[in-house]
Amino acid sequence: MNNIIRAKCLILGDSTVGKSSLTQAFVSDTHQYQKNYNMTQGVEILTKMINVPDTQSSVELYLYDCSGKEFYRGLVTKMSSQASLIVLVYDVTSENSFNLVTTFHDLVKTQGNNDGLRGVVFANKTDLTNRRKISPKAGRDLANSLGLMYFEGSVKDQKGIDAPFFYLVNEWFKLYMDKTQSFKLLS
Amino acid sequence: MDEVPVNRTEIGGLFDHRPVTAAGSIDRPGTRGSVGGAARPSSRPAGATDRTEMRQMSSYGDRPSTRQAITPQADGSSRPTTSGRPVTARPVSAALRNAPGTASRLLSTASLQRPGTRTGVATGIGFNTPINVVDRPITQQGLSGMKTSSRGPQRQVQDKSYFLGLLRTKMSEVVNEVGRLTTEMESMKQEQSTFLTYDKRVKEMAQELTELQGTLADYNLMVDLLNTDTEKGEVDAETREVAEENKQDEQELDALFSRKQHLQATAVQLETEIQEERHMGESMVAGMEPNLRQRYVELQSQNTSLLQHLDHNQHEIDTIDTRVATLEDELATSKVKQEAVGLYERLQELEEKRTEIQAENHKRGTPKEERERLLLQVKEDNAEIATMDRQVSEVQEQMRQLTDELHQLDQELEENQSERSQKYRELRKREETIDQFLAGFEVTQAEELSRLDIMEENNVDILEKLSTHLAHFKHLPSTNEFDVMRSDLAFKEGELEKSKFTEQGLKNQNLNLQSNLQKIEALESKVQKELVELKERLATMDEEMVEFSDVAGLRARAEDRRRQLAADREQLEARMVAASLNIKEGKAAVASLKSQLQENETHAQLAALEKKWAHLEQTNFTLREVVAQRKAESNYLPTKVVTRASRKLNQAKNYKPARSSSD
Repeated sequence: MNNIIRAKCLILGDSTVGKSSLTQAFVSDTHQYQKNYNMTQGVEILTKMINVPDTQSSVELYLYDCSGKEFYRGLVTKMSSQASLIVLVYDVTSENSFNLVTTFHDLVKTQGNNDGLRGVVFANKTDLTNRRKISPKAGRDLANSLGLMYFEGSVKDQKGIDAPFFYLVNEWFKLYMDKTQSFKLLS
Repeated sequence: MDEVPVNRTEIGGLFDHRPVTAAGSIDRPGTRGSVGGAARPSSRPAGATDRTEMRQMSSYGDRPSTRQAITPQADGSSRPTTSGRPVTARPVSAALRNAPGTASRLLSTASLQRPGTRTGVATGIGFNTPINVVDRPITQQGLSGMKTSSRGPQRQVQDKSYFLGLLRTKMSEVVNEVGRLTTEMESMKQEQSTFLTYDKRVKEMAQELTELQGTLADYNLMVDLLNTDTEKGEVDAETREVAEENKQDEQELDALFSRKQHLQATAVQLETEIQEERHMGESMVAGMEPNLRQRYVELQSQNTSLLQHLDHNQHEIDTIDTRVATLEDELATSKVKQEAVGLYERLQELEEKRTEIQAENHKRGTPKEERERLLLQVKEDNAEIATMDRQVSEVQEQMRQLTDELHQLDQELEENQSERSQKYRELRKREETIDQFLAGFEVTQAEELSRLDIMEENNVDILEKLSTHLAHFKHLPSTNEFDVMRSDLAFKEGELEKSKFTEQGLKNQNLNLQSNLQKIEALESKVQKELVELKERLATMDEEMVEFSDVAGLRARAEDRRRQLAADREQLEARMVAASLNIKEGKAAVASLKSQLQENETHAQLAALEKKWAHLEQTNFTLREVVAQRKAESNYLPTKVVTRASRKLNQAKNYKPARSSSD
């Protein structure tokens, strides 16, 4: 049984928190990191196939790297319908980005498909320890309140990039298996 | 080389005394002649003429060299010392004179050895060989030789200037040594002082190190707290706990301290009590009767004196022990001394022997008396021998008689031995058995008695039983009946055996059946399970039966479904075609729109603007980043907060101990 499970994964967060860099680093296995900021216009879609360990199946992630600018909010809302996975990114040096996480989560929720929504909160730029304002505890509390999983790392230092995505893939695979099981039972 | 003549004068001095030596020192040939002609023949008993000739020959041959050796000395200032030397040599010669025999021996040996040394002097170059010559006679004389041998090198150099030089060199060496030692001392003093400072510094450093380690531990704890992200409240609670613990510990410490004080007080009290007791003892002594007290005092004084005496004696013993040990060590170390001890011992032995021999000599008396005495003794001895012989012969005869008797007795014994010995053995055995019996008589008697008692009791029991059974005697069957009963019994026994067999068989059967039963039970459980399953299946089948009973309806439904699906498919296919067409159209539309867009100036402008925006955003971001970085670097607020907090903490820290000390 070699089937491919597809999942729509939204990557949301305030601008300049490192959504694009995170997705780029994850998609390109070389973990390339661009020092310069490159503003994403609208939405950028990337795909990545990930094999689920110990099984024949694999999950194909459609990564919607959305712009965090207020200007594109309308477009992003349109694109974020029927999302299956979300990655909410914030910058540990910016309280504004941390506060925006909840608004993005609400935005996705209003677009439907709430029962099977799985997601993570990713705290980026942990390498800037002396500028850090959001403690890991606060981040964890927020993630728990939203019913999400908390991860932290630094794209620049290539720390903790893959972990959230692997977690999402695993969760999605489990959900899929549960769903198919229930379908089989129903039929 | 100046020794040679001295030596000769010594030997000559044995007979001619000093004048001859003096002549020898002044005029050599004369002395030589006097020594060779006058002294030698008298000293040597007989048969030593060859040796003297030899000596003379060699001495004549050597003379030129010796003369040369002497003349420079005579010119020099060393003459007085040579004159001084004979003084030491004189006792030796005197000793020799006392014992004529040894003296002669000495002389002969000396004369024997001298030629060799003389030739050695002639051929050799310098001072060493003469010392050998001096040594040789001295070693033969024993202990005194040692002194002279040590004297040899001293005598060699008798120059005043030499000694002065020696002294000077020694002085300079001593001065050097003293200087060296003083410098060493100073350096050591310096080292001592530096060591003290270093020690102080080390202590300080150690204290600092411990302090720093404490702070490091604090920081580590803080880092740990930061990493674990614990709240302030938790930390506060922890600190409170720790403070409480501290308080408890303090209380404990206070309690311990108070206890210690208490104990100290008790100790002081006990000491005072002891003092009182002592005073009491003293008062008792004072209050004793005068004669008793005197006696007590006397005994005490005696005790002290004896103790002192003991100490003194112990000390003396120790000193003597140490002295003995040192002396033994010395003896062990020097071979010469050991040899000397050995020689002394030998000397003692020999002297004892000599005294014995002398005593014997005194006893002997004149030869005539001796002879008479010996003759008398011989006669007595002969008589004694004769008597002894007689006695021996008598004894031998007796022996022979006794041996004959013995033989006779042996023969008789051999004849009687077989019978008698057997009887004797039997008797012996019987005696043994009787002895054993006698020995074990008491025990066996007691055993037998007890057995008798038991048997009596048994008898009484049996008799009682008999008496009881006698009552039933009448009911006993007759002989006929008894026979019948016996046959019955035999038959019944056979029956019993048979029944036993059958019982066994039944047991086996029982076992088999039980195993069967178990199998059957297992089967039953299985069957019941199957039954349940079957029931379930039946129920499902019943349910299905309802559905399947309407076969036509079912078929129709299936057909309906199929048809519907087929229709759906057709529809969908049609729609797919339509959709693909739509898509194509849409694509075309998109392409046209795109081309329109491309052509549209506003879009181009917008794209350019977007690019510009992105660029601006990029620069904006970088600038913002830089600003944030700088801000973070230059932000002194957190440090301010921290310093303020630390200052407060320090104040609290300083304040606390003050309060505690006041407590």
